[in-house]
Amino acid sequence: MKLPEPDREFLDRSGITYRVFDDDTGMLNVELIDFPLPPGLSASTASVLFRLSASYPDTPPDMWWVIPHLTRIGGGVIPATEIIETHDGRSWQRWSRHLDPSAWRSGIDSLESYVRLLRTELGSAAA
Amino acid sequence: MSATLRLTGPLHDGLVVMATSPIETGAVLLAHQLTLDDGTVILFGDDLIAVPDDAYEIRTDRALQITSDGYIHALKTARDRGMIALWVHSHPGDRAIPRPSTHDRRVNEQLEPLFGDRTETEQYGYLVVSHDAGALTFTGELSGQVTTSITRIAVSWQRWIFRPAYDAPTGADRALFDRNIRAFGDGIQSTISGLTVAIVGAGGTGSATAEQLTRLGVRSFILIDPDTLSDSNTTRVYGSTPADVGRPKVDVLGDYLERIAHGVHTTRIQGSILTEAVARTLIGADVVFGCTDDNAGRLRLSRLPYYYLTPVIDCGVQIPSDQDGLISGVFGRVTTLHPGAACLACRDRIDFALAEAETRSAEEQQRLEKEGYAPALPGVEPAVVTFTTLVAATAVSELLERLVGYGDTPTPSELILYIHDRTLRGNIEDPHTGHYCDPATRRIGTDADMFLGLNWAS
Repeated sequence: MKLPEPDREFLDRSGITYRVFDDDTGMLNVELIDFPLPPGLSASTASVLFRLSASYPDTPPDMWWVIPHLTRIGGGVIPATEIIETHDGRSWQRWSRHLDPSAWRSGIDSLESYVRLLRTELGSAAA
Repeated sequence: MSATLRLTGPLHDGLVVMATSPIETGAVLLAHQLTLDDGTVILFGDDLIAVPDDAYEIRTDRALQITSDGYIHALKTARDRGMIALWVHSHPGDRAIPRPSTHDRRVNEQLEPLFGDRTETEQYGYLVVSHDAGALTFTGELSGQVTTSITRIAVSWQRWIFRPAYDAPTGADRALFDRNIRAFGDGIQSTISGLTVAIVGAGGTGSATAEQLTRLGVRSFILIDPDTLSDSNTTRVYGSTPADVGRPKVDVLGDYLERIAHGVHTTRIQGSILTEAVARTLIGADVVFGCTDDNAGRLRLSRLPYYYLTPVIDCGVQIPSDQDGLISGVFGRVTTLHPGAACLACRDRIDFALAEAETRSAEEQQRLEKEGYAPALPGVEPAVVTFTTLVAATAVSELLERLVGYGDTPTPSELILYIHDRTLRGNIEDPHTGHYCDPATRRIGTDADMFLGLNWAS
């Protein structure tokens, strides 16, 4: 399985280091490495994992996962991040974020759109 | 070996303008070239670049001479886009013969190495175009890496045209198809008999579709279905008997079609179009009927017309019931997908959450269902032979309408059957800007890296 060319171009253009790997569930995993986090979280960078199904990009990524497990510096739990899952033999903090189906323009949107959502959600969590 | 040239409506119209011009006209046609496993070559027309007026040295109704400026720019464009280039010129006059003259053949010999070299494809092709009462006639050949005649032009737009080359043998069995010919004429009957049709889903709707197509004259089928026949299928699947229970549906249907008429050939694939190798067989079809009831399959079918210029007629039946289990309506849908019309996604005809659910591993789907993050997959849906047959007949009639053009224009690209209300309504939906079905996004030939622009689980 591969990452579509527009996504590769976006990640390269944005200077985001990443790697892709398959797993035995038929998903394509995209790991953003040392992804910069906004101030206010317990780390300045994290690995962020997207898992793309065979229907991507007609259907959006669903949720994302991070290492290290993040908290707010000022205390307080970040909503819907309590579940820990193992992928690629590592322990990831799951961020259960789900797009409204109408928010994803099937066949048009891409990882660029989803990374925008990721940044917005990380910013909200840090605030 | 033979080659088919697939075109969109605007490109075909461009060739017709050339063919009907009173003076000889030249152009370069850019195309993607694909050779299928069976050796069949398909060309996907991308652009028709006219010879600039100032590049003509001689231009009359009988002769044409141009400078190299007439095509050099087009060859550079072809190279940049990774395409082959075909030299196209016209033989003016109604019913003029579009065979290459001795002079044309000398020109082809001169152009072949130049076109192959400048496009960096080592491939050359030519088309000679004329017309018969405004309908395009042509001959053409490929030479170089692949050498073969271009035996057919297939046009996918509002109307579907399958035009054999000028010298190609045509004609259907006049006695057998007498009633059809009285309705549509020899040409359409010949077109129908020359089609290769893929049927995705060999159940109630698919089997009824295939039977009608066979009786209409289609002789070449690609049948795709992963399942075996169950007891309850025999209430709807044409050609099935209790003795067939447990057999692959494609074999039940294939055997039946081959009994209906002499000369029927069925390629049977017991598999799912969610598998890349299976889905790729659809490229070789002239028309695809989508008779599957899964959303993930429709996601893939929906892309085919825009990447491979293969029109798709997608159909389905829905019988919702109320809380007491009684039928609350009976709906049918026949959506015609072709370049220039909206895909199933733009029409909001696919449940994306279910499409995801259908392709997840069972373990992951169960976990997400339990957490409330995924919809439950539907169980066995109601189905009734009268409704599946009615929708199949509507779908096959849409094929006829696209070939014959007996209906109003603009042609509706979707029909909704309100069967409970005895009503049929048509609608037209344009592609959404920037979507893969938007002609401006130029998807043809762009999926060498990922078939149909998607990942495939296997």
